[in-house]
Amino acid sequence: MSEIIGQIIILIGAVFCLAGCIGLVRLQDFYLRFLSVLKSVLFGICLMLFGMFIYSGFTGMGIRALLSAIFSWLTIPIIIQSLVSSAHEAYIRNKNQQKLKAKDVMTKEVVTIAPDATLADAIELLVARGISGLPVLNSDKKVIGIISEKDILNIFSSGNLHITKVEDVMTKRVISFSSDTDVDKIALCISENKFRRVPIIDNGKLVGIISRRNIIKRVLEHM
Amino acid sequence: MNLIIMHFVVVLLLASSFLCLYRLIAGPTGTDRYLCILVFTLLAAGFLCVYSIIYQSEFLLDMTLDAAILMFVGTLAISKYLQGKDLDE
Repeated sequence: MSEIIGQIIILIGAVFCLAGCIGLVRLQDFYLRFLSVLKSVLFGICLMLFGMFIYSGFTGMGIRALLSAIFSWLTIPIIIQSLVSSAHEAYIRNKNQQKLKAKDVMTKEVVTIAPDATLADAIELLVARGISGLPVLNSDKKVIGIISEKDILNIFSSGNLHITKVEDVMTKRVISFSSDTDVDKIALCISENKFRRVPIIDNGKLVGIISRRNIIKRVLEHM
Repeated sequence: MNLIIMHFVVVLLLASSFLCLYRLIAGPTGTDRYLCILVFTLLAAGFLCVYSIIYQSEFLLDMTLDAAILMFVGTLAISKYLQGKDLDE
């Protein structure tokens, strides 16, 4: 009698194995596949070994089968856990190594100023927002220059801050990038030209700004 | 009587092995392929269990325990390799 029961348990275990292997083929990503192996195949094999124990009772064979079942039950979850956690770590590392684009790093809410504003307005804006430079936008929303702290310091001793217009002082030669540019290219440009910030312009429209601080912060997040 | 059920179990295990072989060949990442090797070892334990009943042999059953121990050590080594770290870390 116990032989028949043992064999039926082995049969059920084999069915579980088959189900787990179907899962291995059909599930779409690694995490789900490992789950199907851990739950179904492991349970099936342990059931088969337990059926072997039922089949032969407390003989040498049966006890060895039971010990194998217990050993597999205890160790295989551990090794699958370690396998998956390292695979997950490798996956995350790969993902982070993909090249950063400008649109991932840039500040999207850009503080701008009109060309006919006075320097006093500009200074007020700079201090209030805690930033060091402003893109200058004309009435068509096109970037025509950048006014930075350095430009203001140059005019500080010689001019009247309440009369001088921003457009007379600003840096007119603006280097800009599109939002698909790689960040490392932008970082190189910033360090070579000693800029503090570059505007990001798509189709003539200002979409964001990248400062040195943006890039540094991003590096910190991925350290 | 008993051999009929056991032969049916062998067929089920063979079908599982072929499904697993498909994933071993197609598997997009290395981890998938290693997972298949792990499943093969488990299925080998199942085969050994069934054949030890069919041939009434005790030696075959001992090998399931060996396979499990080897798999334990091997997988730990592989997972460290996948992490890109040394074994003593």
